[in-house]
Amino acid sequence: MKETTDVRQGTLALMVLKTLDVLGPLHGYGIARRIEQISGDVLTLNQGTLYPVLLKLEQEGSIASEWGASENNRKARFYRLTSGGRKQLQSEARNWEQTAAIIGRFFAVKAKDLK
Amino acid sequence: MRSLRRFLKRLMSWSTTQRDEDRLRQEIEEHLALQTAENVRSGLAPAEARRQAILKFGAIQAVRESYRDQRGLPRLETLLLDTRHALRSLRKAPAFTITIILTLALGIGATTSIFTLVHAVLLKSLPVAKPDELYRLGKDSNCCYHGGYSFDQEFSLVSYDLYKYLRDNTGGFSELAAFPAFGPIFGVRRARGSEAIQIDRGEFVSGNYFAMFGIGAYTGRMLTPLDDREGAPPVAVMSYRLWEQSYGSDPLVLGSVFQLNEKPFTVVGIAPPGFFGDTLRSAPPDFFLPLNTEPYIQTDSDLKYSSSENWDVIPAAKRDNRETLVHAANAYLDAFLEGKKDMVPWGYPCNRTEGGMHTGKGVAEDSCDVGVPSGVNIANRHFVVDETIGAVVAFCTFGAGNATGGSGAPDTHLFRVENGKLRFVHTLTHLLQANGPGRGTQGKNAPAAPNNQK
Repeated sequence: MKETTDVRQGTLALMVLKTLDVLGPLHGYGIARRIEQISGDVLTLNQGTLYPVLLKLEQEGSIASEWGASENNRKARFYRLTSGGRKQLQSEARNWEQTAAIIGRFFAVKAKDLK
Repeated sequence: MRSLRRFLKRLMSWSTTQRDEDRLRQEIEEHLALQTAENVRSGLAPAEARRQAILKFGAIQAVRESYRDQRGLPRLETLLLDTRHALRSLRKAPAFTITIILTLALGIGATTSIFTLVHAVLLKSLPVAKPDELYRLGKDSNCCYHGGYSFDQEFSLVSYDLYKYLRDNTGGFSELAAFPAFGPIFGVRRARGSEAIQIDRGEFVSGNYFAMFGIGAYTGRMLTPLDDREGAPPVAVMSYRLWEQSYGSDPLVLGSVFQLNEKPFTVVGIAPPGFFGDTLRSAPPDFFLPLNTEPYIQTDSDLKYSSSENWDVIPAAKRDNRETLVHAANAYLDAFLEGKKDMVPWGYPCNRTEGGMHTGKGVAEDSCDVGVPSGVNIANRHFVVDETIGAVVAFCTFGAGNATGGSGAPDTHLFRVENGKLRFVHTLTHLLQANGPGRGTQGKNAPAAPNNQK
């Protein structure tokens, strides 16, 4: 059985933004599937938790949404990245990379390196 | 910026509550339908596919709750709901509601009133430059004692000469100003004006009075030591209140001559608004005059009143003997005791002059029976009598052995008696040295009897 992990606080929003950046407008189900696929099913995502996050991002103006037709021709809400969201994604991606790099360096350091 | 935008959206969310609920419901429905379809494609039976889809989605009700919390401002919404509930409850119990409202209103009103009073009396400083540097000379915290000098009120009153001595020989004070305990009332008229005479309060102040308070004129100038010299041209400073209320802030008041008790004074300045003199009074002074003008305006009045009286020699046949004269004077002095007032032989017309005031109006009904303080024992009476002009001078102690235990103040009365009746009464209050002659020595409740006659 594959070891799975919960989604870390605050990272779900970043995943949503990046997904929309790469794939263009998507409905909630599409975003959820994409996140699961990219993470290689390592993340256990309660798909429902996505919707409050989408709402928060929309209130902040990072994404916008409108009704459209899904692939099975049903009414679905499609989300897309706004220009403000793109900027936010860029700056958060930079922060994430910096943080990851710093943490990585800490783990790389061995006791003998400090002598 | 993003937080602000989000806050505003959440604030406005109450208007879209129903639409947002519908939207979430539709999105969840669509999500489950898509997941179910995919599960069917991977070989599950439709019922099982739907069940798996719901499991994967997670607890729908929890998602709804979380969504609602994100959407609006739940605390604010709860507060509004609570408020509505409270208002409905209050409407259901009107008696309780009215009681509560009245209690709160009374409480708030009383607190506000008391604080307003405390603020005005205790916290608000005098409107002067440096209120914390002001000191009042004297033993007691209360100013002032009007009835003359007494041991109990040591240094509450000082003579003008003592004031000048202290002013010129005391270090440590940047200024030492003086003013009388008692402000006079003037009949005031603008010279060459058409207004009727009006009654205004005044105060005599030393020339450095305004400099000591650090108060400059609203317009014009304040009094200076140069104004407070014998022979200086008489000038006055008018209060802002009088200038505004009686003269409509007329700029021509400045430099105008005003008749104060028929003496001309030039108004050289208007005091600033909010300055009502040195003492909290219900009737503050409207004219500030140099101390040295006091004799000019006050004493001359006594002289003028006296000169209107007839003190001619009485023909020998009509003269009273000295016993009659002394009897009339004693009857007057006894009138200050309870129950003796009706025994005074009043003559008509009669004029009484005291403290710059005069009762006579020049008519036959003029009366001296205008009231005296009651319950005052006048002791140590010594009389000087001149039968040729019907004059009796009584030197005495006013208020000896009173209930308050005071030893009294030296006092002098002058009477003109014609045919055994009082025609003129002049009273002069002394301010002698504490241990000087004339102080009463009688004990408490001493009888009001003349103990010596000369």
